[in-house]
Amino acid sequence: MVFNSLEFLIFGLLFFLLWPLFKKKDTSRWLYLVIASFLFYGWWDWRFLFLIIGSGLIDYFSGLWIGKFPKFSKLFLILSLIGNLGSLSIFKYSTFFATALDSLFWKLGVQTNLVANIPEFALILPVGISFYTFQSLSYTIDVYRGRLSPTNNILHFFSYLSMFPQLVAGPIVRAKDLLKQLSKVPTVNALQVWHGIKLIVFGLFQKVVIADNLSLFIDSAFSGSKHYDGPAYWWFVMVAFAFQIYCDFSGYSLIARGLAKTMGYHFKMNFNHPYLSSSLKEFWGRWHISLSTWFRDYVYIPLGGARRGIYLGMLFLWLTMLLSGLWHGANITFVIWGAVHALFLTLERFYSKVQFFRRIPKGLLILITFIQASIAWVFFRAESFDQSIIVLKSMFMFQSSDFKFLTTYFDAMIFLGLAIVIELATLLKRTKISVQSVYKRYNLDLLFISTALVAIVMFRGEGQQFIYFQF
Amino acid sequence: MTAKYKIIFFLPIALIIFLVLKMILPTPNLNDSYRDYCWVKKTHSTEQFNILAIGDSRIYKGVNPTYLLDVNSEFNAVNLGYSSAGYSKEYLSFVSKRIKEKGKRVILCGVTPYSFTPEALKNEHYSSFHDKNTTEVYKMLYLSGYLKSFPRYSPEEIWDYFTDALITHLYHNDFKENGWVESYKIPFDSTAGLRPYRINFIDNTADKNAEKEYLKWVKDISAEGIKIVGFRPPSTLAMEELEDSLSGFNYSNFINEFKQMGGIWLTFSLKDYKSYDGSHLHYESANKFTENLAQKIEKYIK
Repeated sequence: MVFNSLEFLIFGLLFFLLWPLFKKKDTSRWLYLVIASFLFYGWWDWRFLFLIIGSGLIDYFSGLWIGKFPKFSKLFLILSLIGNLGSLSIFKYSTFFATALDSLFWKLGVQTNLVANIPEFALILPVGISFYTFQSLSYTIDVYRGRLSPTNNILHFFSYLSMFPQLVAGPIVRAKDLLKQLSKVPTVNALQVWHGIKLIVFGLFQKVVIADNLSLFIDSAFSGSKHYDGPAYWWFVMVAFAFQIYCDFSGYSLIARGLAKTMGYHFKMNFNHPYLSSSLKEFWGRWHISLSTWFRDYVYIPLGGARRGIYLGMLFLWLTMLLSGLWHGANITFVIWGAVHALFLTLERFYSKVQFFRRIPKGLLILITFIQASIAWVFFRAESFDQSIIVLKSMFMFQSSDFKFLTTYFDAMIFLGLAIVIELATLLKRTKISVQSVYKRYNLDLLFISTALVAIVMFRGEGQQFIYFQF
Repeated sequence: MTAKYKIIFFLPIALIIFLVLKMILPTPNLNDSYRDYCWVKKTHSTEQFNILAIGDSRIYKGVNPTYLLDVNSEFNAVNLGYSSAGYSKEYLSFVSKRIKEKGKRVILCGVTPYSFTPEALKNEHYSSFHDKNTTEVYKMLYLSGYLKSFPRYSPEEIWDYFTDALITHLYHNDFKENGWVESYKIPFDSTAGLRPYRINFIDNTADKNAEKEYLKWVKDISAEGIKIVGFRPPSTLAMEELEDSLSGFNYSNFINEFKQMGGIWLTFSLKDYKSYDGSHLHYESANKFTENLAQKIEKYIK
């Protein structure tokens, strides 16, 4: 079930209608959440519910036994790691690794065909597997590290793991943040509900109005139809994609946070206007925050982080970014996307110390950061490595440009302009106190949310699935 | 204003903005929710009719059921055409279920050389709606219909409307519940369809076995007292010549066999109608063509 569907509208209305009845007692609240969440997920394919249940059971019992049998805690942690990363490897990476091994063996003179022997069920990517696997893993790791007490109640655990707002595309909520909230009777006041509504409506606006209306322009560019070419065209395509993926994913996160808030729970911010960052380091503190912090806390810092000297720190950074790329998809283009970011971050560490670069105006730094992110997005969006090279060559080719695409994709250009204006308005609101006071005094949030709701109805794009469902 | 009042007022304010915009803005050219509803209804409805128009896009754009019958007629009619439809067993079985079981009955078959090619026989457009799961069908049939009042607006159309810009490119498709699609295209180009059709016939010529199967169906259905009326949907002379030369379909042989099986063959003059792309009729011509068709089949339904 997706948030931008009629099914979800009915599901959501029924859920919130009955929520006050069930939320008062722990068991009924957790059971209600688990049943609703399983229904939400099972709507897509009920058979993959067993994967969530299996993964969850491994982590629930691993957590429990880590607490009960501290001597064997490492063993139970390994069990959890094997269970989670094993299912992720089978369902997400089997084809990728089999292809890589086949080509390696072929180079060594041994003819294998591992790809052909992958069972059919493993070729289907269960929606949200990367999200709930990481969420589940964080629970066992935190219990192992002694940062979290394991829960004794299986319903409590599954209400955390499967909670429907964030189940399929995040944010990746940590157990230490949510389990505690779930153990209390949630209370909601009018202000929280209003905040929840604002998040849901603006999230839908980002997804349905901006991202979906940009998709036709971007998809046709990458379909290889070759109607248009030249640097200006490809820069517009990549800027549009930068906003499409941002609005698509940020939109989902906002809806998830809004739903949780309306239920009485708080999820941390997952996107904080990343394209207003003045450095890539700052960008990663604002983009998909729940994943960046996951990798920081469970990969980068345990490896040694920046404490082990500048060169080892760089190595760990590269490793983390490559893994982050691989997390997004089982394709070499995603790994390269991670590598490009690692490269830019490495360069940034050096040039940020140079006096000249410190004098660059903030606006220009924001633009440079955005350009870097857009270049990296080429690898993320391209269908293949070869296509990414062709696109990059076109972007940096010094030749005259044909601007006819601006009229062909007039609608997409309008929505791209709107997305940019919204980001600039956010910047203005954050930096100018006078704008903030006008915004508050005239209750402009009420007008904006009402208008956004109208835009969702009147200017919705052709329904598209959320991009991050494939990760 | 407190949050409580904002919660109360945001929906009414949105409604006011929506109504004001709906009054000011031009009606969108395409209503895709309604389009999907029309296709799903065409495919999944179990309603039966006295007159069916079947065939490919030349039929669903060229035969308007409203013009087939008098206003006070006791009979009913529907258009069951699909894009690139071919006369496959599956499609003919679907058609057979939609004709009334007794009374005056006519099936109008638009026969184009493409109708018997392997690509057409796949009936991909028909299948895309036929194969939808129950939930999707239910949603489109009973919920999407309500979305007729909420079409998607295009900034470009709004811009053109308010700036009085000369519309240089437009593909108008207005979907009707009776299965007809009112259509026209700007710019008008009666040669536009020739190139795609030339490509369509590469390694894709008429299948003799499919013709035989279809003719057997004509015989069986005619035996039940149903009038099977065949005709070549009007397009352009250039298109007919192209189809005749590339399709491997022999009309004169086919017409003879069609008549032998009990079918009634009608011919229409091309000069009476205008095609906006060389293949499909402009909606005014479609109405005129349907009126002419109605006159010719009048005796079978009276």
